[in-house]
Amino acid sequence: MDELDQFKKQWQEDKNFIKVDQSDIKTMLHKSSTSIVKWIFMISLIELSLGIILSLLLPNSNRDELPFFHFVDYASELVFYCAIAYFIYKFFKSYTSISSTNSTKNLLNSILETRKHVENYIKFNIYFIMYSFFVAFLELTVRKIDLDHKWGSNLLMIIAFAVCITLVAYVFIAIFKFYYKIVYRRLLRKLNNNYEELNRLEQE
Amino acid sequence: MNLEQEFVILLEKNQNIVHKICKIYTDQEDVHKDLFQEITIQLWHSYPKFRGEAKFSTWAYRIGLNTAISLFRNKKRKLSIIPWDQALEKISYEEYDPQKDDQLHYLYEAIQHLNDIEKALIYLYLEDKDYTEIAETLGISEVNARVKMNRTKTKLKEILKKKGAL
Repeated sequence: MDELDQFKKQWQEDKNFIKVDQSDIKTMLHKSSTSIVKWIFMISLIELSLGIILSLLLPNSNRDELPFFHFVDYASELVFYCAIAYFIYKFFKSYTSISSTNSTKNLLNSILETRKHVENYIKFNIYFIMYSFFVAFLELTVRKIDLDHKWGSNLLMIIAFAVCITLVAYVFIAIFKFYYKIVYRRLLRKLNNNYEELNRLEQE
Repeated sequence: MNLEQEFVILLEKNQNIVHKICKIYTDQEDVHKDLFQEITIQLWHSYPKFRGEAKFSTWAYRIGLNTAISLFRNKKRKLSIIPWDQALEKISYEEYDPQKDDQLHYLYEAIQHLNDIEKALIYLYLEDKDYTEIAETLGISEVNARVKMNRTKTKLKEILKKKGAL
């Protein structure tokens, strides 16, 4: 007999708890859930709308002057909105698959996957902003280069632009990383640890 | 009888299942109450889906453990500033054997040293669940559930021995 079996019987007979009666339960049913999933959903919705707002702030080029950039702008916008639609679709699809009746591993997986879609969406936005700045930089360079001037001053201008763009990109990425560290490290730590533990079991 | 009343009666009858989960996943009374409430809400949300499909207890084990492991957000308040429902203040303890309670106290204390997944395994073992159900609840294979259970039981015994309870 297992040494722990002596505890089993006592455990099963343990009734030493605060008794919750029917009226207590009824009160609880009408309270709203404070689960992690609810928090993740709300934060994700804010992030999804933030991406769309950010897209409105992207630099616009002067489309009348340079037809090539005119085309690039339209193509980029098309890709951008298709990607947004894709991420939002994936987010809602995996969000609706979260169910507490699933196995623990599946539940953890679906929560983390839902988060991953929003994270990818944010990453995509950052890359897209960087790309937009780069295109704007190229366009500005093409327009501003004065062939009559010496190459030295043109080169200096290009370097100055490049430094500015790199700094802006760096600031965006730093903000993104800081935000994720603050918001998600605590919120998702437990979930990640438990999911890793279950995965480790399967790999051994 | 309406759905809500049906659920309330079932949960009242099976509430110790939920209490035990709360007790092994928390060590503060106010957090215990918060977790109990969250499990109740989760059980209620999926009740129409479950209704009559399995034993209430089987389904409550799964949702209860899932809530404790994945969904519950412990705010770790040191001082509870939110007043708990007046109704819950009506505390009534069953009569208990002090010696028995002492042994149980060691057990609960030892379980607190385990991680979330190990707690779930020990909980299901103490509730006398078979490996098929344990594996299904956690979403791992039966073989792995056995291996991990043996390791967890060994770990728990070592803790209990150190505490002088074994």
